[in-house]
Amino acid sequence: MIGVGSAGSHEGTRSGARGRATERECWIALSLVPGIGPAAFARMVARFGSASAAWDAGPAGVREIVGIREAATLGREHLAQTDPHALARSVGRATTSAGGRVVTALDEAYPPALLTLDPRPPTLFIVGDLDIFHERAVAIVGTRRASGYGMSVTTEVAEELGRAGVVIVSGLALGIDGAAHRAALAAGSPTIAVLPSPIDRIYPPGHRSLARELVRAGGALVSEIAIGAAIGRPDFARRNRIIAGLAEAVVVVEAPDRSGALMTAAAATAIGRELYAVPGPIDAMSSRGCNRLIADQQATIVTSAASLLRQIGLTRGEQPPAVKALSEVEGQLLRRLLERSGSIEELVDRTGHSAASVASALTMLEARGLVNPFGGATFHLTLAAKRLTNAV
Amino acid sequence: MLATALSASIVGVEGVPVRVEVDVAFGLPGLTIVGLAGSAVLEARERVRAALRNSGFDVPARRITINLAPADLPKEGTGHDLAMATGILVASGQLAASRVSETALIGELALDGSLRPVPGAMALVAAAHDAGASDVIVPFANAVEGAAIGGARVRGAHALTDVTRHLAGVEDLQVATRSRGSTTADLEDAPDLSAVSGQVVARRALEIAVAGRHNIAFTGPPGVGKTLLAQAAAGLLPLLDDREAAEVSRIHSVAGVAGPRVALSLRRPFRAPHHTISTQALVGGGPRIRPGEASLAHRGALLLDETLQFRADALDALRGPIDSGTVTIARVEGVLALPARFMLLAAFNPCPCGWFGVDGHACACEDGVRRRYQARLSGPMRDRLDMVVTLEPVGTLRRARPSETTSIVAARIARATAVQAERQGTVNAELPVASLGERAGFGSAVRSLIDARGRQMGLSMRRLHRAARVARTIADLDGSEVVRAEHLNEALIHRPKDVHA
Repeated sequence: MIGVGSAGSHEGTRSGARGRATERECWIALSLVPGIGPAAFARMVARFGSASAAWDAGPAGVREIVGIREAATLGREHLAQTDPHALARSVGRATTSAGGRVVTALDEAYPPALLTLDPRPPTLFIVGDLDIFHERAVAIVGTRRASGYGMSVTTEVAEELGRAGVVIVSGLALGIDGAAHRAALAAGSPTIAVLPSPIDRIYPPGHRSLARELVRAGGALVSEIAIGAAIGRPDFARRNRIIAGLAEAVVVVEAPDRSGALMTAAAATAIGRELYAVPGPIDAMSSRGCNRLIADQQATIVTSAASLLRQIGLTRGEQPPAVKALSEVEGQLLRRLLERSGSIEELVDRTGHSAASVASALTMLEARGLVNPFGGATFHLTLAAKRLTNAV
Repeated sequence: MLATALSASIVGVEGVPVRVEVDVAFGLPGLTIVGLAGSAVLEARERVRAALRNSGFDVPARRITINLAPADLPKEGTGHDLAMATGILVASGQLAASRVSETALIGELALDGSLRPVPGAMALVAAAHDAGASDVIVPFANAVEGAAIGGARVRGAHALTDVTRHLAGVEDLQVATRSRGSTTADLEDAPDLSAVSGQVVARRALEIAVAGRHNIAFTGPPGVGKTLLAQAAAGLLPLLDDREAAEVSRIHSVAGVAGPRVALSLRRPFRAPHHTISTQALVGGGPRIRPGEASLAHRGALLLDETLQFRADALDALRGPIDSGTVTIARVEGVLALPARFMLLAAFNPCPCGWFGVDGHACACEDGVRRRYQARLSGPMRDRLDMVVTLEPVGTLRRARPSETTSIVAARIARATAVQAERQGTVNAELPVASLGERAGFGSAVRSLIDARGRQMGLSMRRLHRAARVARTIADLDGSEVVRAEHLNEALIHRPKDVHA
């Protein structure tokens, strides 16, 4: 474990302002100064040679780098009055008591994928297994207002990736993000959630239990925001950049115009990650963003989970045994749903069976994990069903 | 001299016999009413005095004391006027007491001595009959309604003088004949089921729900026919039997919604309160306890259109009646139970804009707004729904089949209802958990299937029991004595699902 007290490389340059603080402590403290983001942090360290030297430069140093801004005014006072040793210690203690640890870019435990970012997040707060950051990772993101189609595709793609041994990275948001984490867990694969909030204040609150489950299953929660930091709104922009940074490829499953997922897509392009998008019907508002990414050739089109695996250079993982012994109606329904997802109403219309027998057969299929309505009226085939119908 | 006349008062939806004791004695002239009389009862003093005078009688210039017994029961309303006036006449020797002892007297007096109708005539007549009255005189406008309950001879009177002539044996008042209201003609305001195009699944679900009186919710985007379907349930409900009709009519009579001339109606109540309704108006209550919409829907259906627009506390107040079939109102003076056993029909959009979760449509609602909206139907309320049906816009369906009319479906429902009454005496929705066994057609195979589905789908015991009752109804519609796997499976497809986040 990387302790708060582990030595940095500039221990000889302590001055009165920062007392007995180490370079690492100064690093943590400087990254916590309001108004100093990753970019300003990187410029300050580059200008002064180290975080401790940057701290010693004080408010004047900040003014030189950041310029005169409202937030930086706050930061200057912060710099003048705070003891970095005490600040780093207290943040470390708070993080530990929340079950996490502080990981700086100086530490060996720092996620290697993020080292290539410029600027990189100086300090991260991580709950869970740090080894997971050495696995191959793919991010799956999308709208919070997901349709059944989006939930279904997310589940399928995340499950296939999970079985192939890929770690799924997402943002723990409602909708697509949540479905991606859940599908990864269902496939027995660890998954990483990057939070827009401190690790002790899971956002959204409705996903607290999902976050706990995710850590228990060997995954990790990552945040750039310190516990107790004075944040107003969750910081989605920085969160999205880390999501893209942790992954080798980003898959946008469903995104309308002006979706937060498109910010992640833009970040992926900016930092040189592969971008994939799942198309939707051209008249579907809920897929406009994805369709545009594909049309503008910013993203590679995803036509199936299998094709995505091939493009990333993976082979399909071990598959669970297929379910057999379907009734005639069940078989017909599966074939219809393979053509196109549909509601009971449409299935009754397309097969000519009674509403009663279609409803009954769908429950059978749902109980065996072959279809999923994702809370809406439309039934979608699950991965297991697609394997089954391919085999038939 | 002392005289006693029998009257009745309303407590909740029940009638309670009240003895009106009148004492005329020497002393300072005046009229005093005692016995926890409410303000409307106290004002009877002025009405009775004027009515007596204007009917050609004397108001004795003595000290008149009227006691309403039992004296510890709070009394409201104007129905005691007639008994008070008659009591004064007997006590002052202006009328012979002979016929007064077997006759109950109910009605409000106008200043000119004519009789005005009072609410709750059915319950009042029933109470008077139970207290031993062979004859009940009521205002003429209440006669048909009062007679509908059966039992006592109900006579309608237009004025105080008609009553005194009857009591004196000069001219008998006519006994009102017991009659029934029409049973089919008044259904015309419900939309016919054939007006709902397509939506075969939702129509089938509605048929199941009405047949077993299960709580059902329709959700989906605007304009798909949620409300129309729910309203069509009014025409699908089977007729009341005599015992139920008496219960229902008494409640409606007390609430004054029956209309004074309506007799015992066999039509099941169908109440559709607006979503701005207050909690008290929905479940009952108020300073003078009145039955709310939940009680008015007793033995029928309560439609909450735009369910999520109702006040959260109003919705939650329905939990009690849904579980127990009664509304319990606790007051300092005691606890009152009003009957309220209804089937709940809910219809709501999945989010404020209405398009959340519909494939191909982008929902325009903020997350927080949508979550708060969905949270208005609390978990416990969602748990009490038996079926939730999500409707989708009807596209161009290949097999455009003509929709069945209300009368065809209602006939099937009536048959299934009769089967339930025969087997267990109640509708399936009211089957106690203990009865969901072999005798109700749940064999060991289907019972173990219920357990298996509970595990597979992560369902609570309450959900499973509710699904089992729905399955029983599906089997009844199918004409099957035993519940089979396909019945249970069909029931489960409509189970309430947790909102996916």
